[in-house]
Amino acid sequence: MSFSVRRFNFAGAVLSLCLFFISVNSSFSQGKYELNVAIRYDMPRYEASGNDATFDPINVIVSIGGKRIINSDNLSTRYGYGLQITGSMKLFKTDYIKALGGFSFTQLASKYTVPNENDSFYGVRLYVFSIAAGLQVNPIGIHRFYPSVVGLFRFNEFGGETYHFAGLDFFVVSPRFGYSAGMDLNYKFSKSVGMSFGMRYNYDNWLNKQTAETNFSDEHAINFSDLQSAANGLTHDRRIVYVSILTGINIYFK
Amino acid sequence: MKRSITLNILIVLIFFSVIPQLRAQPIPDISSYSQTIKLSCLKSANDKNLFLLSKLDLNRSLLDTIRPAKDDKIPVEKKNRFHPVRFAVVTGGLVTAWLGMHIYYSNTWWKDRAHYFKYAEDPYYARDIDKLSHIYTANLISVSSAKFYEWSGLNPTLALVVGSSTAIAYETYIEINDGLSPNWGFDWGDMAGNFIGALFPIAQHFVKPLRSFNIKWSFEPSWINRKLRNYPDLLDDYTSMKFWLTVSPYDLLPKKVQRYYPAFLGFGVGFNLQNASHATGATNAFKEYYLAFDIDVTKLPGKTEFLKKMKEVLNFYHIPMPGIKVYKNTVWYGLLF
Repeated sequence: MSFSVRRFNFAGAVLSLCLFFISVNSSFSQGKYELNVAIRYDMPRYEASGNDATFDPINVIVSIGGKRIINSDNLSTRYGYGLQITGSMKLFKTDYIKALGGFSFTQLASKYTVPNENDSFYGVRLYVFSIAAGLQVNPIGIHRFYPSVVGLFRFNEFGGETYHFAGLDFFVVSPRFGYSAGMDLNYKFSKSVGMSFGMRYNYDNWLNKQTAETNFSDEHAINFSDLQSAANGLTHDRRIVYVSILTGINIYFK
Repeated sequence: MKRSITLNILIVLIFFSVIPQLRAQPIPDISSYSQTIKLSCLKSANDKNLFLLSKLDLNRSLLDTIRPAKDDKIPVEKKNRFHPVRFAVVTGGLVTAWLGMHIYYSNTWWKDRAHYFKYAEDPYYARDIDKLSHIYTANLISVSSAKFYEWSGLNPTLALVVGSSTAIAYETYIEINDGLSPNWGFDWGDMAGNFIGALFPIAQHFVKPLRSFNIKWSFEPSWINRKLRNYPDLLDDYTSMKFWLTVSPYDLLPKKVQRYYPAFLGFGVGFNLQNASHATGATNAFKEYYLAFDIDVTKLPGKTEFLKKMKEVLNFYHIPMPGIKVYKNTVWYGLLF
């Protein structure tokens, strides 16, 4: 039995997409406001990700690469999810550029099974509540089917915990500034309802990284340090970065 | 071969592009035409004779056949008159209740306030039964405060929106204070429960079939016994409470069947926690599931506005009825609290 590998017909695919686009893209009269409610699946990157968390049952501590989360080299999350609600407003008479504003919640997490204990879990959870403002660019305007490019500047309230059943060490919630950038493909079912599918690149502590050299606020409450310094034990900065795929509902208002 | 693949892709793409065009066309609004007919009939006839009446009735029945009355979807809102004094009473009452709960919590849950704020999830200590409590409480606050706002003169939709906002504001306030308490944290799972509970009545308002589903609560007599003894963690005592998701099937049944079915009779799925307390911990805790009959209080007699509102609030309590524990073991109950 033999298999032949065919080359991907790029020209055919482009032609197909163009025809699809032309066939569906009947124009819609567009309202001034729009609301998008979307759910996300997040994939942690850089120091946000990791798979080297271990649990010490004697001292009841979760360690990452042998260090407590207070100064671990990464934050050892593997996946995440989120919910975001974004409103947009037309800035000009055309639909090409819209102002965006909204908020979102993100949880990056990991879950490990304690060796020899099937129903006993430990891991890390990081939480980000964001308020965001930015722009949406619709290169071809708004039609039945249209792409959009999105950029958001985000104010983030960042926190987290290590856990074994209940929380063990907690990050004191502290503010960071970051951004999200990406693109969406939107499809309008009617004049008032549509759906979107897209992706984002998120960098949640782009600005305002802290050395937080006085690390403990309480016995188990830790100030989050993400800027390396000689005193805080970090070997490098810790970046909270994740890539998201998202899908949502668009509601168009007059 | 390549061509056929491309052709197939094209066919699929065009098929999907055509689907939206095949949607049912909206039914034309013929009310304006029928109105014209009515007016012309009235002009041509000086008195309302039988012919005219039958014509009008024909128009009406034609309209009803083609386009269902809007009343089926959204209840017609009466024109409400705003009562400033009632509104002040309601607002004052809610603020007083808020303050009362704040004082209670300040002496219990939030006794040792921290100087920092933290997020934390607590799915373990109550095996997520507390999430049901959040859904239930937000739902109850949302509906009951909406009823009070309605009484003070707000129209039902606005009252519901204000009621839901009240519930979300109050529950968020609780959660923020949890975040400032060393033994707790701001739990996004709890917040999700709050939003679901607070927004569910609005969804019910606009989606008629959802009105057949309710979230209810019941308690065992031992809970009152503990209350009288000032047992700590009273509101957190999930082992003596059950939360119910109930369905009242009457409105979902075909009209032919409705004649034979008692309107008040429903069914519920109950959730409960065992072997958990702050004293003993939650290591051996487990959930229990129940099935039971339920009474839809709103379907009981009483048609005055006051009684209707009262029944809607009372419907948040699951009246003890025969039931069965289906997990972890099977137990039949003559009366399941």
